[in-house]
Amino acid sequence: MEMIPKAGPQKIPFQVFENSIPNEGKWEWIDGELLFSDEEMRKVILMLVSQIGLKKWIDILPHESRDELERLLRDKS
Amino acid sequence: MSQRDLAFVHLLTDLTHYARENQSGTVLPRTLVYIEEKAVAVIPDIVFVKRAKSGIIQKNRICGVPDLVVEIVLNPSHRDKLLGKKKDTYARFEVPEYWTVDPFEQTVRKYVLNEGAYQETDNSRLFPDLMVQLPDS
Repeated sequence: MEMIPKAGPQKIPFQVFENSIPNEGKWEWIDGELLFSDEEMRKVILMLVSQIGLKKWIDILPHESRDELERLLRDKS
Repeated sequence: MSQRDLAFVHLLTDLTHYARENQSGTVLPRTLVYIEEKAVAVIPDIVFVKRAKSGIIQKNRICGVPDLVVEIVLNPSHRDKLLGKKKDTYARFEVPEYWTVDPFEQTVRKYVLNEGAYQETDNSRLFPDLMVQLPDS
């Protein structure tokens, strides 16, 4: 089971929570990089963004990042 | 309690008793190890710091290189991480000894740093006569 981020916030089922905690909940840092695999990173990001919702996530982003995001979305479509 | 947690408690107890009896140093569970000059912050399962280096133990972290790091395998992909990136990283920090504990294969692999690389050994320099036996599953 995996979360699909929506515009608004969503509750996280326990199964998703349990499967999305990366590296046993240990946040480790080596040479400026978090020691999570790509898969661990993907799961935790999907869970966090689902919890707050896309709208809040966009609100959190600095203006510069929002502009960048808009550009990336335009390029992709 | 999972096999991994059982192995963790068992090993932590054995190492702590040994270090206390021999007054050789401090054994700590899951403590942040921060080495500023190497840009590293990790939380190994168990660390050991020799008495002579106890100054690196601070209130909520270790600021320096511990003498032994022990990591316990959680699952097969975690095993790859422990024997790959983590092992390379500990060698780069010059952690003198690194142990990986595999509760699924019932093994404790001990590595001693030799000219910048780990060599597997049966004899720990820090816990030379400690017989580690993992609990049965």
